[in-house]
Amino acid sequence: MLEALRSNYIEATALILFGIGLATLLWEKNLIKKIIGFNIMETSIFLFLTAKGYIAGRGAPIITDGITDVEYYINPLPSAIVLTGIVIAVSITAFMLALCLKIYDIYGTLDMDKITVMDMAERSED
Amino acid sequence: MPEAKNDKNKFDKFVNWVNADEDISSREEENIADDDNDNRNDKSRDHFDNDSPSICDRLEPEDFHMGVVDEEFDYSEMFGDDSGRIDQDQAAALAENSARRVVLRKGVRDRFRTTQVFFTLVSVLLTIGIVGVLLLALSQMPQFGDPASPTNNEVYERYVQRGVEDTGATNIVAAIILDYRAFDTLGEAFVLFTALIGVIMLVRTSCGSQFILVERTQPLMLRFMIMLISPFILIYGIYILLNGHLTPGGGFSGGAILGSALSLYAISFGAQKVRTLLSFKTLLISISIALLFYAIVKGYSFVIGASGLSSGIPLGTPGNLFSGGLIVPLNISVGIVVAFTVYGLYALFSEGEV
Repeated sequence: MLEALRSNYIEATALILFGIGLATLLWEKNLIKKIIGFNIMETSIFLFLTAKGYIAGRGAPIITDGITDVEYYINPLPSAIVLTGIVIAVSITAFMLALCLKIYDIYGTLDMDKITVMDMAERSED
Repeated sequence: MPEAKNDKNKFDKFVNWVNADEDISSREEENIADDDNDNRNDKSRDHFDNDSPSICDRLEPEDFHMGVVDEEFDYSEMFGDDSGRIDQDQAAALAENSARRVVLRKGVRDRFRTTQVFFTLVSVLLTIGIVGVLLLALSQMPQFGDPASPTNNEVYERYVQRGVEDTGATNIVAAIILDYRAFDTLGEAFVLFTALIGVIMLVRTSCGSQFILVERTQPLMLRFMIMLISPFILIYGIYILLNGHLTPGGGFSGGAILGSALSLYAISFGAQKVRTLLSFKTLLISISIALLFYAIVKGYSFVIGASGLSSGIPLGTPGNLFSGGLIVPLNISVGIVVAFTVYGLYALFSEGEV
């Protein structure tokens, strides 16, 4: 197994990055740091996909000199998927940051624990 | 309530502040009164009446204590005094007096702490488990760069072999995202537009400048340099945009460069300068027209193509700037959407106004 991981070291790095992002998302109390963790997860997936699209010894999928032989080009599909993913990631990040601004407006903090406690206090009033 | 805590939360209450001349204590009373008003009847917006200034009134810089970093999470402060047990009514009364002061009963406090410990343990196990399973799956996957990998199947071969013939674009990625799978890209552009609308709804104030109250003036040197390089950034962005079907690039990357050039200009010269050229209305109308253009043109080409008719759009000579059929106009419309969205997001987050 370790031998396989060593030959696939880029994908392994991507998966470990995914774990780091997930841990940040789960452990950090600050909402901004949670968003950073989310972004790390997204980036790791992009790295994984682009690494999967690579074929050793071949060039970028741009047809040059009219050569349309498959032997010369890498797989363009993961690149297209990653392009879509990046745009979606930007959109989600922007929306999450706007929600954070609103949360700060209402609670005066971005700390999840404090927000939870405030909610619990409100609920205990009822 | 400690004074420092009050200071920190001035930001979200400055809306209700009345006069810069008054001292802090009277301000705090005003705030609490306004808060109570809000709690009782959300619809009565008394503090927007004529005698009290509206949200739009500019405050002096010294009124504005923004950017105070959240200090260490202090449990004893948050949960109240440990020695005396505070009952529910008292807690409710205190919570009503000050929205920031939260006092919990002992039972609730213990439950909260237990939940936290439990949650930390679960998250550790979850992360380790997920990464372990993923690495285990990875060890069964084909090698990095293996041409015989099952992902390199006939779909990829078809795109590479017939891409130029079908679309006229030498960049196969551009051919995929703007010709073969163009409707997915339309959805992508709509996601970007929806995110911008969401941010506008959440952040934009009717009169703007909620977050940055002081007009920032940048150093002369910076303004000079931005003036010098921003035309080149714009030209580079347009180059990337127009050559998307020939070289790496296209609407998304070129649009991002154009949007960052606009943001850079707004940073150094103030958003007011950009706003004279690109008002909120112009921005939204341009994005909408670009999206509509994309939908109509690509919808036409898809309907005609699915019916087996000739769309009448010349593909041109592959490798020329004017080739690739619809890819160049679609790249331009996507570029407009991305550039204006990037600039709009920057302006909304920094000024609260496009």
